[in-house]
Amino acid sequence: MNANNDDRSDAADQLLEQGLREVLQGETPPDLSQQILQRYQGSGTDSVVTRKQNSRFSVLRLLALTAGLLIACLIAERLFSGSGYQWQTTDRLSSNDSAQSELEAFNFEKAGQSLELLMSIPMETYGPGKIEIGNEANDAKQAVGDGNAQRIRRNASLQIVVDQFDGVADNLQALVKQHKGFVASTNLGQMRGQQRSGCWTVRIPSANYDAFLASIDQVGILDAKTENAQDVTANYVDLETRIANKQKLEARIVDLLERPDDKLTHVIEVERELARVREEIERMQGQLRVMADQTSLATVTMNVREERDYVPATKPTLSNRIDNAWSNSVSRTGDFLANLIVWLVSMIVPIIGCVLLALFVIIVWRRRRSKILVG
Amino acid sequence: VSLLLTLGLMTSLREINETSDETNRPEKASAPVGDDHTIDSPAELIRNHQAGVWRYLRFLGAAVHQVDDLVQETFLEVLRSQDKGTFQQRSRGETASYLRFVARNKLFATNRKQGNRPLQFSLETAQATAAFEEQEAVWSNVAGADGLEDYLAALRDCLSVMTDRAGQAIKLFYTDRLSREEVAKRLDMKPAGIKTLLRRSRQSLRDCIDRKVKS
Repeated sequence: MNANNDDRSDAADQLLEQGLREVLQGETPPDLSQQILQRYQGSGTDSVVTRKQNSRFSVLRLLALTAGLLIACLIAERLFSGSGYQWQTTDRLSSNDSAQSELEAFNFEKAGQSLELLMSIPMETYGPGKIEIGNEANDAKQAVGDGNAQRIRRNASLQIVVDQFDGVADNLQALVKQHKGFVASTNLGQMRGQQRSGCWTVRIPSANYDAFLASIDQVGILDAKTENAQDVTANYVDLETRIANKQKLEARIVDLLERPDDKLTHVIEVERELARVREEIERMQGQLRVMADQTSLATVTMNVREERDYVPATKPTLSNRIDNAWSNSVSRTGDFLANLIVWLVSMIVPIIGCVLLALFVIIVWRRRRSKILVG
Repeated sequence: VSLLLTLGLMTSLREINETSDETNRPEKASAPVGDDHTIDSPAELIRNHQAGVWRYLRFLGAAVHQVDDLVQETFLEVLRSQDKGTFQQRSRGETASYLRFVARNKLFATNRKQGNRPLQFSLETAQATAAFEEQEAVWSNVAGADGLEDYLAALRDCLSVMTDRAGQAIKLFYTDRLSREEVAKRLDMKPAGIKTLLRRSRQSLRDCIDRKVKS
C-alpha cells in the first residue's frame, strides 16, 4: 500500500464500511420524496427533530413565564399587601427562637435571683439622696450592711414594637412627663425598607422607675427588655468619707494660716497645700454629684420600631417551627429576588455591555469556525 | 430574572447561529444559473439527491434513527432557500455539494443541541478538522454527484470476483454479522488470522474499487 492510501485509510475504510452495509446488509436509503414534498407544500408534519426542538422551546417558554409570574406576584405582594412586615416578624421569631425563649423566661416570668432581689425593693422608699432599704429585701439589706444608705445605678434597654409609628413620640413624651422624667436624646430613622424606627433615651426618677416600666405598654408591645442594676453604695460612701477627711484637713490648714507668728515662706507653702486640698475636694464632690445623679435617675433606652400585625413571641411548637421555617424561606426568597432586581437595575449598563461583548465574541468565533469548515 | 436573561441570550444565539449558517454558505451556491444545466423541480431535486445525502450523513456517523429527519430538514431548507433566491441551481455537482454542506450543518447542530454527543470525529480539535477534511476529500473523489451509485456498483463487481476464502470471510462478517471468533470457527482459522484476512480483503476491495472508478 502506498503512502497516499495510508494517509486516507480511515475515511476510505469508513466509506467502504458504508458501502458494505448497503450492499451486504441491505441498509438502503429510503424514499423520502413524499414526506419532504408534503412538508414543503405546508401540509406535512414536523420531523422528530423539529418536534423535539419545539417541545424544548415550549418548556423553556413555560419556565420563563412561571418565573416571571412568580417574580411579579412576590413584588406585588410585598409592595401592596404590606405582608412584608409579617415576613420580617416571622423571620426574626424563627431565627431567634431560643433567644426569645430565654428572653421570655428572664423578663416576664423568672428573673435572676440577685436582680429579682434588687427589683423587689419598692422604689417609693428610695429618695433622691439617702436610700432606705425596704423591709421586703432583708437579704439585700444584709449584703450592703445594716444602717447604710444604698445607691443603685439602674439602666434598662427596651425593644418596643408599635403597629403605627405616628404618635409614638407624643405618647412617649406624655408618659415621661407623667413620671417626672425627661427625654435625654432622640434618634429617628427608617430601617429595612419602609420600616420606621426610633430610639429614645429617657431619665426617670428611681422612685418612678418600676411604674414607668409597668406603663410602657401604653406606647407599644414590649418585645424585649434588658435591665442592669449596679450597686455603687460602697463607692459612694467611700467618696463621702474621703471628702469629709479632706474637709477636716482643709480646716486645719486654715487654722495654720491664722497663726500670727508665721514666716512668709511658711504662709506661701500652707496656701499652696490649701489650694491642692480644695481642688481635690471639689473633684470628689463632682464625682459624688454624678454618682448621685446616676443613682437618683434611672436611664431607660427605648428602641421603638413599626411592625404591622405583630405577633408576640410564644413558646415554639413543631407547627410553629414549620410555619416559621416556611415563612422564613418565602421571606428570604422574596428578599433575594428584590435585592437581585435592585442589583440588576444598578448593574444594567455593565450587564448590557457584557452581553454585547459576549455576543460579539460568539459571532466572531462562529464565523471563523464556519470559514474553517467551508474552506 | 436570570432565567429570562439566559433565555433571551439563548434565543439570540439561536438566531445568530441560523443567520451564520445562512451567511456562510458557499459562494458558488448563489452563483448565476448556467446555460448548460436544466433546473430540477423540487420533486426531481429530491429524487436525484436524497440517496446521496442520506448516505453522506451515514458516512459522517449520523445514527440511523436521525438520518431520515436530517434528510428532510436538509431538503426543506434548500428548497426554501431556493424560493427566497438565496440559492440557485447551477450544476448537479454544485447542488450536491451544497446539499452536503447543509446536511452537515444540520447534523452538527442537532448533535450540539443534544448535548454535544460526539460523532465519529469531533470538530472541537484540530485533529478532528483534519479528519473531516479527509472525509470530505474521500467523498468528493469517490462519490461525486451521483450519490455513491458508481462506487456501490464497483463494490458489487469487486465482491463478485473475490477469492473464496476472502469472500466467505466478508460474507460471514458483514452479511451474517458474525463476530471474528465465530468467523474463525467457521473457516477453521485463528481470530488473529481472521483479523488479518478481513483487513487484507478490505484493502483489496478498496484497490479494486479505485481501479474500477478511475477506469
